[in-house]
Amino acid sequence: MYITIGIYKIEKRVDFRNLKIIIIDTGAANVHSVNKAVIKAGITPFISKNKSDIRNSDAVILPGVGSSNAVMRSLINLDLTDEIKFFGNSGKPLLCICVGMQVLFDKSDEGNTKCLGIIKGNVKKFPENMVDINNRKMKIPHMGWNKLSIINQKHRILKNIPNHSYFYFVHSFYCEPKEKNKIIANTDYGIEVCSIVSDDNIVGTQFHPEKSGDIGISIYKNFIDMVK
Amino acid sequence: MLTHRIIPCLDVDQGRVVKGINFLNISDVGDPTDLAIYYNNSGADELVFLDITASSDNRNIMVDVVKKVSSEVFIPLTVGGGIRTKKDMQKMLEAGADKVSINSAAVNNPKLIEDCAKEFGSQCVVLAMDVKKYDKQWNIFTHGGRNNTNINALEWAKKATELGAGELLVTSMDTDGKKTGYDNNLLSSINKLVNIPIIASGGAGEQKHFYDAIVDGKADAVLAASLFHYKEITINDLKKYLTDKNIPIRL
Repeated sequence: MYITIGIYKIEKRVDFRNLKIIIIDTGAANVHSVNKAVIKAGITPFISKNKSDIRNSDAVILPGVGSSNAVMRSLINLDLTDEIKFFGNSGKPLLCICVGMQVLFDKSDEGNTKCLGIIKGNVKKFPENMVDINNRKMKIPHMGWNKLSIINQKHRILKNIPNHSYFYFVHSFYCEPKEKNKIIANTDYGIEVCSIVSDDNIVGTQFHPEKSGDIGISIYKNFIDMVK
Repeated sequence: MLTHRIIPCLDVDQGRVVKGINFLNISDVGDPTDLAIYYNNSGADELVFLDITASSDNRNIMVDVVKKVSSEVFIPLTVGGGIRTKKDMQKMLEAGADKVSINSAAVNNPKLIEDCAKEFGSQCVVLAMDVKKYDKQWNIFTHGGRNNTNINALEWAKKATELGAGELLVTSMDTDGKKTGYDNNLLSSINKLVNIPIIASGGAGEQKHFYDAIVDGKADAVLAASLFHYKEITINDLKKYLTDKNIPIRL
């Protein structure tokens, strides 16, 4: 992070103890788990639904479980949609989890929901009656541990995360980014599912890092490091 | 590819883990958090805590247990036992549970499944079914297998799915404790009718039983209790065994 004093642009040393990370309280059930995981990663975050808290923070996490329409409704009711878009444009790190990732896109088939439109693309329902190569039913939700096929290993969110690492997924809808260069990792569930999407400072994970053991905590540590 | 989950189940009475935990090499064998850490380190994919506290006055102790465990262990946590209302479920979710299992209360009031699914999402509503063969059909039993409800288990599984259950925890009372293997007929029969994940429970005695439940029973996840607690089988060894047999497993 750099600050400008007069004609000098100097590097500002970030004191991690004073870092302000906001978890947006959408009423989703995983807000508490995300909070505990960020504490485990080294920083005590703030849970808030307040606009000015978001604007004055160093990094923001948008958690989400349940449905895109419920999360969008909650964000609209809290009058936070523009604030999140503004934050996304600020260059500061924004991490969106599961349904939080899904609402980054233009539109979700779940309840035909218009979403934030921060990342181009749509969110679709898994096709019914899929089977894998062993003739196992691909059930909905996609629930359990599945692995990443990393496309862009250089992304900062993946520091110390090896290819084919396992993460915990629970979702019935999946994201289809329009610009393929925004896909950081994919996951195979009968069809190719985008499991990490990123546009510069904005990162979305379809899996739940807060439920993916030690390697999940590493995702939060990497996210905290993105503030530097 | 999605892996099959291995899940140890812990019985909790008034905040302490009970039954068959004496053999684990940890300092405080009754402490739920220590046990959760132990199982997380041994490769468990998920944990189930079952509250068997008899007195409803002491149920809030379980909320504290869930709070502590979920602050230390970051794998999915299912909590069940004594959940009667939407409010009960909410308390557990807020404490840090990811899924809550309901059993008798859903039998008495199937609408509870629908209400909870609408409020919190299907993904956190687990329907626990205690099933026993009775007069050539599988029936749902409650009160630890004493009370025959005469409800057909296959129809109940289907109905619960339609109401919004996100996962089924199927325990066979016929095989439970016998160590002769899971009831794979029952499991595969349910699997044909529903499109949500199924956890097999009751009857594991050796590694092959887990393989059979996955291959013959089509189970998505397999659960066991004393077998793991007494270290008759360690989760690490079981996972290696299943991987060698080409079952997708998280190592």
